[in-house]
Amino acid sequence: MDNSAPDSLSRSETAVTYDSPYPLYAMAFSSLRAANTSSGHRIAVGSFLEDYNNRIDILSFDSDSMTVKPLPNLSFEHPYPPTKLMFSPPSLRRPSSGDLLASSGDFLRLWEINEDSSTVEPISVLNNSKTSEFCAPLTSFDWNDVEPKRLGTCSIDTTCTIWDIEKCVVETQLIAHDKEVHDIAWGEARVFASVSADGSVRIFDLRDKEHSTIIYESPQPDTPLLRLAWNKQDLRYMATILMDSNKVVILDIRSPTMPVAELERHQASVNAIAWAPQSCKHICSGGDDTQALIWELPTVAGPNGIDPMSVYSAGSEINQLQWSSSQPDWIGIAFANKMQLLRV
Amino acid sequence: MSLTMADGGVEAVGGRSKRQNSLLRKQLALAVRSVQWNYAIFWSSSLTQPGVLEWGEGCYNGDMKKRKKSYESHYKHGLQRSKQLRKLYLSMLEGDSGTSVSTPHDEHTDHDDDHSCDSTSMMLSPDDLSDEEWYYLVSMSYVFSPSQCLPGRASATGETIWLCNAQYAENKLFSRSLLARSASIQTVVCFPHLGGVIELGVTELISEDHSLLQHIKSCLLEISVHQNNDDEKKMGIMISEANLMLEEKHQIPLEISDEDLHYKRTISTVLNYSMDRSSTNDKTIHRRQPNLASSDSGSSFLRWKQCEQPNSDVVQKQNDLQPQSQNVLRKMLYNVPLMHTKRMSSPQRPGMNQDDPSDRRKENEKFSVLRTMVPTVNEVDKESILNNTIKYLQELEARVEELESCMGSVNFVERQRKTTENLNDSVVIEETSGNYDDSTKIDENSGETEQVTVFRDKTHLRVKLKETEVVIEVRCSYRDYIVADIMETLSNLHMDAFSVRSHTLNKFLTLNLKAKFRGAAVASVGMIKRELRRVIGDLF
Repeated sequence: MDNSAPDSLSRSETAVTYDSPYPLYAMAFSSLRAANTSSGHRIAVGSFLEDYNNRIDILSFDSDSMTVKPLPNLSFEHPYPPTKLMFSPPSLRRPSSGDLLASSGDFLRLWEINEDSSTVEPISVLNNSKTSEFCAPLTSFDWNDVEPKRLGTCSIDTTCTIWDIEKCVVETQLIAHDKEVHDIAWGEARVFASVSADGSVRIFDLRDKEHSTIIYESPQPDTPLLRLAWNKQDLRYMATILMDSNKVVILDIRSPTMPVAELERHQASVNAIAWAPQSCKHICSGGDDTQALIWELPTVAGPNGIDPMSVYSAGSEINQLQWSSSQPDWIGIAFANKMQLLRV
Repeated sequence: MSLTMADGGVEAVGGRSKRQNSLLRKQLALAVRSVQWNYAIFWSSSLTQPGVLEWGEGCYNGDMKKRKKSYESHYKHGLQRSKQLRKLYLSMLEGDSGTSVSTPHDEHTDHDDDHSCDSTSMMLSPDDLSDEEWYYLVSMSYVFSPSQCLPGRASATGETIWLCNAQYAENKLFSRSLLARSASIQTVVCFPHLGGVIELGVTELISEDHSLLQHIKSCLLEISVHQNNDDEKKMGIMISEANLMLEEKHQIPLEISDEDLHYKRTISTVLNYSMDRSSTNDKTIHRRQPNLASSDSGSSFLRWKQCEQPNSDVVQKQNDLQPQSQNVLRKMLYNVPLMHTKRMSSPQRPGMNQDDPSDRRKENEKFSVLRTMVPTVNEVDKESILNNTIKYLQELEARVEELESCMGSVNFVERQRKTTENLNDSVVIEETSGNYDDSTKIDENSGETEQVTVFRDKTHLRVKLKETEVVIEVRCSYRDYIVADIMETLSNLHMDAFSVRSHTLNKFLTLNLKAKFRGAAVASVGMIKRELRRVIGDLF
């Protein structure tokens, strides 16, 4: 890397690090407005142990003092590694002061985190299967910001299930793709998109469940698409990453099949992407080259492609990246056993 | 006390210019929309009476009778509504000329009387208003002396007051609590701002939230920062530019049919525009809220350098070195789901040594072969197959013993077996004829065996085994269903008859059968005979 060493050292001083006893993958920022008495926002991190016993830890992050510390009372066990964690969106008005966390793995589970009583209570385990206890494992899910009782999950049995979590029932289940579905993202109250191992990005509208629109297919057929992110500030744009590819593909939903941009500056495969919560033109990506890049999408791209605005080098491959709207100044990354918060 | 009347539009209140008022209105609109609350009011200090707060500006963002409030409501429409409400209020005031606005409560009742008044040239009539709109309207009439009620106290103490359950608040604390109840306003917040007090309210119960407050304040601060600039002209230009941006956004044809998207874009453009102006730091690669610009603690990120362009070769090398790229992500998507399935398939059978399905299949195959070899096995399950095999072996052993003792030859059964096995070479013939003694003759030279059985009653049973073909001749006394029984017996011995000739004469059956073995399993002649004997009649 050409980043001068002393600079990078001083840069890491502005990063807040949390060391975990086990490797981390899933990560979520709480959007709870009432920052608690102890000040600081909550972050949930999920472990990645290839075992039945995994844990979810709740951390408290104080941006003023730049510290992050775990809340040991709120650490709890989770069966199998959680594939995704997400706190309830701010539009979900809840009577109690507790926070609602959803985790996906073998089932979709909801947990209530109550800092006052220092407990984490499992609220529900949502299982769609009527026949047995067995439910197809979930690869990811997304909580609808606009309609917060709606939550969409995607699984390896090629279906996407939309839940009404208030009533804990299935709103609908769609066979979304030909192969396993890897990620799902909500655009508006009743529109979502999903990516799959069959290499396509499809948009679904709940009002018309019979049809879906393919807005992109990977150039090499059957190259799986691994992750999807929908720009919540500008709903025209989506980003996706392919398997074994160092490109971040930016799509415009109004012009299907042709990507608007392909951001190709990572030196190894990209693992995670996140749009900026307060700007419609910025996106951050993290990959196996240990770098996190922030890009600004111009209106017109130069001939050599788009260069990122800034870069951060972490200690090892970055597996997860989260840019929460409750903390727009901070980007959370997870690599190896660490979780770092980087100031933007 | 009394409001200065002005022409419809923007009134000059509290020493502010028209421009400032319109700016303030827009700020309020921005603030209340972005947090999705119902209304925002700016109480300004009165010109006539120092310290007294009266209506300055307001923006209504709540339910309208015909239209449900949601973030989808058009920006312009909302502002218009506020203006309409203001006009209505003013017209009502004008309506009862002579009544001075002295106490809030009088005003309240006056408005009730005005219900039946004809609206003048207004587009709105009192009947069109929802409860929240009434609340908003009536609030316009209120005046607060220092430390009186919520706005007064906020102004006096200079602190923010967050009132939850406003509809149940005491009158002293919040004089409009009754009104709030009818309008279902549950939360009211007041904080001092620019010499007056900003009040916001919402119909839901929201607990105190500092970040929300900050957000609201930042909406107001952004453009108002420029008010501190000396040049009013400059500010005027900026405001008009901001207005222009807003206008532009309205006029752009909505390619995206979603009004929500349009609204969000409008807001973000406006915010970005103002944030652009305030950020000067090169290092801040990202747009920040201006009130955070002061904390310049530097970013974790470094500027991208052009020379860091990797070519695809480097990428290829990387991928070759690490054939497993995206290691964790792949595991998450492919291996972790399989962990779940494995668990489900074999938790109940921990003691099972063979998890391998192919082994199990082989076992099953062998069991079915065994079943074909052992006769009279009707059940399919492994246990009964084994049981029957045991029984069959025991029978055979008994038979062997018996025969051995009878014939005095050790190898009788073995030879028989051998000859049945070498079916290509020899033909085994067994014949019986009536009136013979029950004796057997073994002709070792010819390799043939004969088995002679004597039946007393001229019953005749003859079984000839030729390779896979069996010729049976039966003569016996007739009884009902005897032929069917014989056929069933043969079927149980895994033989299929393909030629049957029978006739009955004087209750005496003559039956000639030719049968073939179904499979590899071959029943011995003795076995066939024994079974047939059983069927014909126990005449032994």
